[in-house]
Amino acid sequence: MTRIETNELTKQYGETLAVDRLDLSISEGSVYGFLGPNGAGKTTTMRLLTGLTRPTSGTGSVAGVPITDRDGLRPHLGYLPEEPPLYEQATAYEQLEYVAGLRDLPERATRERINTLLDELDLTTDATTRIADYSKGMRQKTAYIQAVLHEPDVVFLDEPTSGLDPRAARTIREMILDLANSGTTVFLSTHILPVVDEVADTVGILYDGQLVAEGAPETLTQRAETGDTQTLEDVFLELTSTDPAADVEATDG
Amino acid sequence: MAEPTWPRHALSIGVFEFRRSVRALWQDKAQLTLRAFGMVIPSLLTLAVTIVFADAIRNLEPFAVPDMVRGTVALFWLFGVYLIAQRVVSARPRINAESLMLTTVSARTVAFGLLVAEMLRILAYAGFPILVLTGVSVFLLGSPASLILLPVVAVLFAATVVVAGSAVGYAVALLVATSPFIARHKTILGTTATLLAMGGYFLFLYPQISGLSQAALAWVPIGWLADLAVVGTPFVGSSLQAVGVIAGSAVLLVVGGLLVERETAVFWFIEPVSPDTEGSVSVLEQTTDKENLRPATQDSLAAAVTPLVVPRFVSTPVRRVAEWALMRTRRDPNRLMFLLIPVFAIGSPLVSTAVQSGSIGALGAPLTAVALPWLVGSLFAMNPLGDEGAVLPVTLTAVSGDHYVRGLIVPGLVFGLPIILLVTGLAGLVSPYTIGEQLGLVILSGYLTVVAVTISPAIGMAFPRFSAISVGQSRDVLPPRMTAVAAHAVLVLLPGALLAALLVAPRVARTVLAGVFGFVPTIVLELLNSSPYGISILSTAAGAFRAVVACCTFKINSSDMAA
Repeated sequence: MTRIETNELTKQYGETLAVDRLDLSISEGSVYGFLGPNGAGKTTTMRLLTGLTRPTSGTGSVAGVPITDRDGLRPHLGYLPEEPPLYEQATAYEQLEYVAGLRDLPERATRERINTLLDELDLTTDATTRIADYSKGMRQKTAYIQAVLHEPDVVFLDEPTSGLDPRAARTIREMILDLANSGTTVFLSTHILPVVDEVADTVGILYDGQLVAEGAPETLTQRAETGDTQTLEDVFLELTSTDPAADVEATDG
Repeated sequence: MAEPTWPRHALSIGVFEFRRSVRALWQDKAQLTLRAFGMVIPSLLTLAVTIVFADAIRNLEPFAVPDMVRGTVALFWLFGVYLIAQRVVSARPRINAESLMLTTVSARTVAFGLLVAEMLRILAYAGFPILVLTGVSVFLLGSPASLILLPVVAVLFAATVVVAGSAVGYAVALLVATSPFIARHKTILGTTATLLAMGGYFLFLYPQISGLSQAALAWVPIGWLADLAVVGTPFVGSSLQAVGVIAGSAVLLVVGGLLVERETAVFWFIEPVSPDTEGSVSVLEQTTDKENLRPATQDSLAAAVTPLVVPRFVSTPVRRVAEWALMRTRRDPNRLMFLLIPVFAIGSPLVSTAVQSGSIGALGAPLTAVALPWLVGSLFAMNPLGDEGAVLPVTLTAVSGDHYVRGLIVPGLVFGLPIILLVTGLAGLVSPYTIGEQLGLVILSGYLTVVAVTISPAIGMAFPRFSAISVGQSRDVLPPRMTAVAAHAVLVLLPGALLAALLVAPRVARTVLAGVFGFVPTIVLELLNSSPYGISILSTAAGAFRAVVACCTFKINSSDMAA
């Protein structure tokens, strides 16, 4: 069953084409690694799919709901943007309970879930500390819990492991896989290519607003003509370079 | 369509946002103290006046509510609408944690939640004065109805002000976000609008200026809240207008609420236009525009502050810091909102006194000579370390302390000083003072400018603020600490005012000095002398004084012997 679908989805800002006729089809329970250089249009794509901005043309749906139907979309999605959306004056516990309340989640079950997630991410002892005093990693963990708290059908994660220590990053990676196993579709945007390599079923590479490559990591890294195996980083650099020859040279060198 | 439970969620957002404001205020003790004084002192004064005149209030003869009262309520309401609109446009057009809120609840829920929060903030400030007034009305005027009606009037006033102000504010924010022309000229347009609003306010507040009085605004229906407030008291209002204002407020709340919902539902989901382009280019995309990646072919920092030009004879590091300070002040005028507090707190009563006594000319020149240097001193360096933000380590390792401080001082001296000398000179020409006094004021203004501009980096660095005030999504808004503002104001305005008074009104100055250094200690000593413990306190103080003198004498003698 398809959870994310777009058809010629386009977003233009004045003269700038941020997303150019994007076609996506992402199935239930899969992890979609969304790669691209800075300014390729990844964040704009995520904002389009979460209903935070309107497309210039084209259509899209998330969990069967058109992306222009913001009220219909909300219950189905969780979103962790690159900058964790947290309130400095609140504690992690207050923030999470507040968001759970706004989503009308059942109190007791939610409290248990919050405790479990805080525990898994090693944040229990700091849950009553104000977020203003949190490190970047602690903020990232809180924002992650916030995005998955209501067990959405689709989760959009923008650089979820940014600022995390190796142990916490590993926990997040495992949690992403658990989410996918439980049927949640994960749309994962990151620059940390090994994370994508490890958890993604499908990888899409965006360049100048266009999807220049898509496929399973092992397919992308397999050179069709020669049978040579590349790393995902090689593929990424090759596909997103303005001067492919130079990059190939650099890679070979 | 919003979720069915949106009113409950809006209330929840309102309460949460209000709690956040309280916590933020609690952490800033100086601001908390200032606001608490602003709230408690008027209430205590009202209470004191009430106690003193309790009998007179009890025996008041019934009389009709005059148009002046209705007009005054309407004037304050309009001013409140302006303040809220201004706050929405400059401080909180976008919401905090926007991506979270807008993917969690509907825009309507968020919008109404923010309205509730703003209303709670107003009621928190007005709570104590309303309590005092209600007590007066119930106990002295014998009106139990006031127990309900006065709080209802306060809530209606706050709710309508917030809804109307927000509707206007979001409309303006939408214009700024969609029109490149308005976005490009928002500072000058905003300043003009502020001056017009303030001018209109003062026209009605001081009938001596224009002949218009508050009574001329009595026709504005919101002023009829006065008729509702006096129900049950000896004052006689119009019953029709009392009912009318309830119905009118309800209509305003519904229409205004719908307007706010529509505006925010558009505003929060569009990409604001860039002030630097004609087309609609999102700020998100600006940094990725490849045109911008070309190396600069001109002095971009100097171009950013044109038409102002920092002289070339200033060394490059100092010039760069100066240009940066100028650019920051120009591009982020929200940071200067803090200046409004002293301007209103001190300026308003001064102007009021001058207007009422017909001595604007006499006050204008000394006021200019003292207040303008303070203003210019506050513009560029009241929080230099905090203003640098994340760039601070780079700045501190790139430029020497000497150059940095000089760079912060340069804008005030190069651009502020000539303007202040000119304005004070012009103000002197229309004043009744002699040429000598006028010249003295001009020299004083120059001296004060140098003092104000040079001490502001020191004060700003001694009392820095590093964490941004949480105003909407604008995390760059980083006003100085209140302690720094107060210290700077005290160090510039008090001596400045005294020097100006010595120049143009020496007798007044001498009286003040005599009061501070002569009468006050005398009165204190007299009081101590007449109290039963006075003698012992005085003898203890004298003993301590003798001990200090003995200690000093011993040290001097010891050093003499050693020599």
